[in-house]
Amino acid sequence: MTRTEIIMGMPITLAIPDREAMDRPGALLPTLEDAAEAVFQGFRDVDERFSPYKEHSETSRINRGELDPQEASREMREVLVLAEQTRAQTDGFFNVRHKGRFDPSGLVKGWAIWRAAQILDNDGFLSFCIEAGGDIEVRGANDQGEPWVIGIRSPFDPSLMIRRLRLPTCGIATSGTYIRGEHIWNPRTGTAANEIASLTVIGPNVYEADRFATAAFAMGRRGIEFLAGQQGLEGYMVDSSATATYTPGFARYLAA
Amino acid sequence: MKSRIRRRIAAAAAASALGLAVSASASAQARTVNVSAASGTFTGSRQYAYYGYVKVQVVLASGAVSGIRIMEYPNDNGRSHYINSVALPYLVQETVGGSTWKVDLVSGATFTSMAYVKSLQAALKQAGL
Repeated sequence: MTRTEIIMGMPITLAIPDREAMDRPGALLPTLEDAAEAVFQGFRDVDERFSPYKEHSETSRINRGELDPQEASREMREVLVLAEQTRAQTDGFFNVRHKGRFDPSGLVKGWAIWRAAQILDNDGFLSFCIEAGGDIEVRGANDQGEPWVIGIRSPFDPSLMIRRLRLPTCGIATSGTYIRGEHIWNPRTGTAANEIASLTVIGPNVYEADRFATAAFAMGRRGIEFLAGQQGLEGYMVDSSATATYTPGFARYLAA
Repeated sequence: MKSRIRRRIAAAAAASALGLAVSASASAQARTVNVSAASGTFTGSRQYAYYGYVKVQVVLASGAVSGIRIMEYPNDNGRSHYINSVALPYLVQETVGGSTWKVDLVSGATFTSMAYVKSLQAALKQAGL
């Protein structure tokens, strides 16, 4: 079963092998459809609570001084703690406060996917993928009972992939941009040469992968070195000259 | 005629998505639109891209895209920070191309480009193309 919805301004896809409907002792557990609905509702709730673009979100209320973060919801307080942790672990490259405003967006996407995975975990699902805006929590095995096959999108052409990976249970996230300031950069003429086009991170789960992809991307070329020095994280960086640089441990995920 | 122009614009938009030369040109004043040969500057709607908004402006000359200006796009945080140097680890390099494979899912930063295309479409619609 595969289902996609647009929530938080991005496509969110849930893929569950059909065998999961049979493999689980069904009587007491939700159906695939019910579980999927719970997952998507979780994303809608996160959007309502955390979006800096929704007037009544907790994020907006904190920014207007109407809500003391200490009195915010349990979810918001959890994200605030995680944000502070991430800031410390990334030498300040990851900061939910900038220019005097609070914006947890860089952390919330990965966290929301990870939470959605926990919903399925609790319902006894062993194999699934949850993808939101290109970041994926990967669990178990695909429809064929083999490791999930995940492509890395080309930063030069969104219709193409530059690599194909076979992934065990893990999280994968890609940070990147096609647009820099006022120009669209040109890999062929070398405009903005050596700029990082995209950075893919594989970690123990999508929350870890996403926050370190965001932070390491902001570090520029040093990001890949930073990742190489982190336990449990592997990175694949593509620069504007179409050269990929990856951590040695990333090689084990590369499919021919 | 109209469909040909639309195709040309689609090609220009595709070219820009591919990272080919589309430079931001000086913005002209918006003029009255002649559908068969629209000229002028048209601004697309702001599109939500999760980390912020994307808004583009398209400059048309006789129905052809002569420039696209990014008015607004999501910013990364903390670029100017300094990070302590770690010992240079052994890293592997390869040249990447592009392929279409059968995969279960794709990891990539797509949100910005999707919002970009939507905003561009809105600008072109405004130009009557």
